[in-house]
Amino acid sequence: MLDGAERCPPFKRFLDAQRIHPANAATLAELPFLPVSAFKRLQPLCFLDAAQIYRVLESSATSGQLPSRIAIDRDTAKLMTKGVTAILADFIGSQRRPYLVVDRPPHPGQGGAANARSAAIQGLMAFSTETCYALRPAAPGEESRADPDGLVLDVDVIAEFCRRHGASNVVAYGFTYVVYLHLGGGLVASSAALAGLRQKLGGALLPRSYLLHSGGWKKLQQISVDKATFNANVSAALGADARSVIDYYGMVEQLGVVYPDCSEGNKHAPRFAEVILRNPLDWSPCVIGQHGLIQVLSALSPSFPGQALLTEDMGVVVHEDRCPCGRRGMAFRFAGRVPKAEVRGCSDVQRRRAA
Amino acid sequence: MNGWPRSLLRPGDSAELQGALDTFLGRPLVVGGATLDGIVHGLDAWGQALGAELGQDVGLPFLKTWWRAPQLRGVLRHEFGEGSGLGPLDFREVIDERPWAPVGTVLHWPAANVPIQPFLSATSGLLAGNRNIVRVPSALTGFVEAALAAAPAAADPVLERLLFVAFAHDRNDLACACAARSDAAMIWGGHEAVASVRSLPFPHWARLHVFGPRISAAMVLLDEQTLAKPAELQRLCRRVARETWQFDQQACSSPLALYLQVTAGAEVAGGGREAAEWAFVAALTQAFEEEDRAHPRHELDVRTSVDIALARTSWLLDDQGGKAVFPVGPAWSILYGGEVDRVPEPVHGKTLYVVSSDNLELAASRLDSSTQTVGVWVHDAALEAKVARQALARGVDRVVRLGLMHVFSTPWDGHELVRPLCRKVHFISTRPTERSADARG
Repeated sequence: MLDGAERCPPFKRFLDAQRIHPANAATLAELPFLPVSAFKRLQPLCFLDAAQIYRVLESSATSGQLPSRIAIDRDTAKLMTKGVTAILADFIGSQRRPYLVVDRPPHPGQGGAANARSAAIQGLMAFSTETCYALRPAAPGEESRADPDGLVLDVDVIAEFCRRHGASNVVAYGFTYVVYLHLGGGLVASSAALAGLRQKLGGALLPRSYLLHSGGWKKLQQISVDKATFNANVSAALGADARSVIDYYGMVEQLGVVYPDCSEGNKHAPRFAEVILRNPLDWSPCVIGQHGLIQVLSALSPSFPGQALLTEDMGVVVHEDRCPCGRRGMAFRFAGRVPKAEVRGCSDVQRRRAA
Repeated sequence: MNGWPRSLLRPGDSAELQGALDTFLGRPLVVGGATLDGIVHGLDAWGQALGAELGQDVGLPFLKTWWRAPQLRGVLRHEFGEGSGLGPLDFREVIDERPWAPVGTVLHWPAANVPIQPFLSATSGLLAGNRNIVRVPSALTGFVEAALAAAPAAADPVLERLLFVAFAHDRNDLACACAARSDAAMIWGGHEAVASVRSLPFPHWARLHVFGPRISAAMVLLDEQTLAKPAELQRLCRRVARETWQFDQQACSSPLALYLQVTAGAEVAGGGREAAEWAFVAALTQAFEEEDRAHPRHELDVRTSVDIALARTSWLLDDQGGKAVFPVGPAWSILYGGEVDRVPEPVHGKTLYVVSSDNLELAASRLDSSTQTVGVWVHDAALEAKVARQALARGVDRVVRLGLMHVFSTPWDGHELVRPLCRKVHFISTRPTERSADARG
């Protein structure tokens, strides 16, 4: 943090204005945090010269809003990959295996900028012996079977992948909503295609697979799909155990750290990161049972000020230590996004400005 | 209507509400010589009875003052004029040719951020002689119920003209039922609330009076006189702090930005403009710390909590030279030192932008009708008048000295409070009046 501030005057101004300067912080909780939305700017907030920038990662953004833009160098990219690999290896094992991506293949012109979806896909490549993309753009005449991004299941490719690896350990990944659409019953055409494929192949498609997914539940909550239903549908589609469907929490602003659900349904910080849930009233750390704003800390972001970030997500502290899954440290659960705007009183001019 | 008029109605369905409205609106109201006194003294007595059971809301002392009989009569005198009858309730044996009459039934739709607003709004309707349906936001039901429970017997003439109704904001059926039975409405709140209430099926003759959404600002001329006297500087900063603290900066009259112009004399006395501004910010910091110790926040919605963090960060990260003073938590923030006259998006939650200004008159000329109140501290009377003229001409409705920004009085938002809820009617007798008959005799 202090090293970065020397290379980033705006960040130095931010640190210098704090009541507790990071040089004097006695605990991690005393370190100043940036809100994740601070990265929603045209010029990425980073500690790098232009020549050092290897990639600029972008979050998804609603129309009219700037996405978060995270500039990383090669060293940071390597650290991030190592971080994700170490965390996920704790859940699915460290061996490399065939990788099924529930998304379309990278397309020409994607360039150096990477969105959250492609960055998350990339993050699992370390586990991959070979990669198969389960979706493709709809061909003319297939539009009615496509998802809102115009993608359909690539049945032939999946069939071939299942034929070759149906008996092997497999890892699969997709954005939560995309997985729901194509594997969880969200799209009738995809469900029918998978049923046909199961019939053709004589049963379960990938019984020894782990399916990881991330990206949030907002769209699924809107259509009242809960986690149990999601897990049951997706695991049934693959013919795998429901416990092998693993939701993880992460963000492009701290891509090297992800928070998968443990066997108890809780999330844990790895050794190179920390999570603090903060009471919205005074930003003090929450205790067991309290809901608070999720703050994430990471040692894996030397190229930008992502060391301590206040998210716009809420969580609840489940255990301060000793989760029954055996992992050490605080265990928490995701408890939803912070609403866009609270209903305010007579000085609520936010909506008018937005209109 | 179990418990009415001393309980809050929580209708389960439209039929229950319609029945309650039939009963409430069907009861005859007799207006006589004692009616105005009954209502004014009823409010006065009710105000005196409001105590600790209503909690520590900062508006409560104001409501108690607002409901004092001399204050209420002052409002009526201000709006109706001395010696010409104080509105529909000022009963005269001989009817005037152009008397005032109530509009009938007024629907009050207060905002949820000011607990006393249901009562302030209803007072206007009461003084105009109307029946009043007050839709109570869910956040305020406890406050309203406690206030109703405290009402003394003397408040009966008031209570028989009031029906407090609580229902969720998405119960459009209940909102429609209230609107359909109303002849006027006073609507307070944010953009969404105002748009939603305006769209209700009021009768075509209904008059809708809208208050909000607006924001407010402060303007300070930092002169030698203020800067050189620590007591004077503290007095100024205490006033700014109190204006910022009330209603957690979420009322339309809350200052979200403070324009600061340093006079040439103060620049010299203070060791330069930046140093003078810093002296002001240092004094303001002390005042904010003291106000926070005296009135700490007890709750903060999570979105505002995040917005405060983001406002501080954006102010400091943007390359505009922004500086800031704030405690470890989100209790308050003073954001200063940015570009001259640059005001970012308002944040609320006791986040005050101190904006350097070369010329307050020019800054006032850039305001528009989104600004409701400007609180001023300008010892130069000529400049104060220029600032006021500019602001009022541009759409600002109130220019008041710092310390009075939240003092609710008539007019408010450019409206009078009682007369718009009355009708000016016409009576021409078939017989000559006694006076004209006497004159002929």
